[in-house]
Amino acid sequence: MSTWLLLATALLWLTTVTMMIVKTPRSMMHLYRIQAVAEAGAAATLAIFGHHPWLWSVASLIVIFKILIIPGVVTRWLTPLADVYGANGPVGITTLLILALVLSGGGILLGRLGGIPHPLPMGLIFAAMAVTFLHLSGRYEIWSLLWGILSLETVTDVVALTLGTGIPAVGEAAIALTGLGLAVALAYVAAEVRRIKHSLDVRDLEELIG
Amino acid sequence: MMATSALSVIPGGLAAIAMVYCIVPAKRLGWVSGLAVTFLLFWLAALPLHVWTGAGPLAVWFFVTVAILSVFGIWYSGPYIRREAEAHHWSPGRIRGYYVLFTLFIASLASLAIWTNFIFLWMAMEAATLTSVVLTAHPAERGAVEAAWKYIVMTELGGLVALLGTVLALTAVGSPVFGWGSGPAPRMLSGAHQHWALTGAYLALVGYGTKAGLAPFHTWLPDAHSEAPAPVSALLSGLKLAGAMLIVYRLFHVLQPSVPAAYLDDALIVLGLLSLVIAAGFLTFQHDLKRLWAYSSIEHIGLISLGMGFGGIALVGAFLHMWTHAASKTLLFHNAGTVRILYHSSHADRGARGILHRTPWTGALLALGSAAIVGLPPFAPFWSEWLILAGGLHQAGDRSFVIIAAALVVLVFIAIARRVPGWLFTPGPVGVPSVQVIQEPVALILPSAVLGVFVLAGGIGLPLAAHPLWHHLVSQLGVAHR
Repeated sequence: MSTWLLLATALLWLTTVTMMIVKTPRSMMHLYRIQAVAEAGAAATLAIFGHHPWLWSVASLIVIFKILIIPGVVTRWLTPLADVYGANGPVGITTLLILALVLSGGGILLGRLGGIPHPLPMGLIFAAMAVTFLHLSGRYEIWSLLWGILSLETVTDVVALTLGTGIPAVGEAAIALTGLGLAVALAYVAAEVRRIKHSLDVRDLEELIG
Repeated sequence: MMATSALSVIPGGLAAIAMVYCIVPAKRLGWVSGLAVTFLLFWLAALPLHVWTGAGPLAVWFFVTVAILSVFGIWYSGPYIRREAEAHHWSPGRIRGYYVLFTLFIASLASLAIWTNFIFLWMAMEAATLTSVVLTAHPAERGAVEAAWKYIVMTELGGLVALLGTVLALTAVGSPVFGWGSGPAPRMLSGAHQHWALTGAYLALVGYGTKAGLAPFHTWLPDAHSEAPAPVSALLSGLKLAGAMLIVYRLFHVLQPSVPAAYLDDALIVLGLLSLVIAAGFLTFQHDLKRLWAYSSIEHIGLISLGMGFGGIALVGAFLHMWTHAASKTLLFHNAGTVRILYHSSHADRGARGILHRTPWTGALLALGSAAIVGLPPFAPFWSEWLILAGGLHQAGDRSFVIIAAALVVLVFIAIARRVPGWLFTPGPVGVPSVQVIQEPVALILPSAVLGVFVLAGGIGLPLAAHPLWHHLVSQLGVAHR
């Protein structure tokens, strides 16, 4: 099981790092789908080798929600942004990558501390989570933040799948359904921000004072 | 009816009512609101009749709070949204959307009260967050949309961290992550398991603390509370914030036999004190009425956190404070909404002045609510704050925390007492005769007036109605003191 779970979590980590540095929302949508494949792969691995057959239904839900529905919903609300190029960041991409590598090393070490099952795959998941936090503080475009939060949601779902083996299908379905709700609400608010500001940059959001 | 049936019937029924809003004609929306109020009152009345029992006293207590204040929220929404829609040219679809989301918001708050499973509680909290985010953006103005963006980004990060923390902590202590009414884990952990349990507990506290608006994770709160429609601000402040603290309490209750309780309690006390510091600092400079009450919410969530951290009788005070704060704050946010409609702003520098003279009912309710929220006797928040601080003095190992907290509560009192007269008594803007009286629509005032009577009667009646409880608490304090 460890090899397949390791492959799934390595794919998850790789897509998470790539999502941090991509320049257009069009690529983001495909990367999110690959990340969902990694999550579904982790669920399928646990279903086969962990003897939790109900996880097949969770894997199916992930495919339906995250590969078919969510990218469609988000891109439909944010169609005007599809070709917007966002190469600038508050810090350079090289800096972000170096920080991502350092944080990833920390995440893998955390998994090795002991006391949790699947140390290396869990370490990679912690690394992916740390990279997503870096993504959310290192980028400023609406679409990048939106996909960053959805990416973090996927990574957290994988933690719940891998560690929370006591959670039955209905609980995992509830988590997946919440992810769908999150995507819809995020896309709606992001579209409203775009409509009001006529800009992708949310660094100038006014501090409301009074 | 068994408690487990009510667990799905109450949220499911409210969600069904929300869908009814989608299909009825626009002029019949009030009837659906009446149906929602009847539904909530039925489940309230069913409690003393033992038609259903709820999953323990805490669940019943919070459900009663949610149901009563939601009834006032639905009632006040009618006249408030009608005027907002007229003033800002809302389409019928937008009005309908408000009611659908508001009812779903109430359904998620009711779920927070009656569910005990941690995954479903997390889901209910997420539903409350997402519906209230869209409701915050509903006015579709720049300030509202920006506040909604900050709200969703901050609190969703918190929500995901809370899920991670919950799964980590419960896996480490070997407690059933998915069992209704999970009991405490049976043993004290050691080594790596305890580290993971504590890490999970702290992550959950940070995550749910962000949802609750505890400092330093509160930055979304003043914007969201001041920009959302008034009935939404009221339920956000009074119920959703307290609901997040309730989840933290339930989780820590499960973890406490397995990890040193002091580690968890100290974290609650530190965040509670920090929230009081932030509230005391920022309340002094507020000129917008809704923003003033938003910072006041940070103070009161800080007090609830302190009560949970002190434990013992202070814990009773914290649970009582969930009700007393929610009732007073609902009154104040509804009142601020009325001010915004009548004066076209709730900002003291933009015309909302001389309120007591120009709109006597609105001014009187503002004075009454302000006196209640600062903890003046005989209002109910006085009793709950007294229980938290007095209980803390007897319970806490280090009394300096309680003394600092009491000093900060006094500072908050001074800040509010300095600011509120600016709205109540200061003459109107230059060029507007100070004698100009604004007509107050009865439909807008009546829900707040009834709630005002409720707040006043609750404060006076509480020690009388709960005399045996009071007697017990006082004797417990005496025992602790000896």
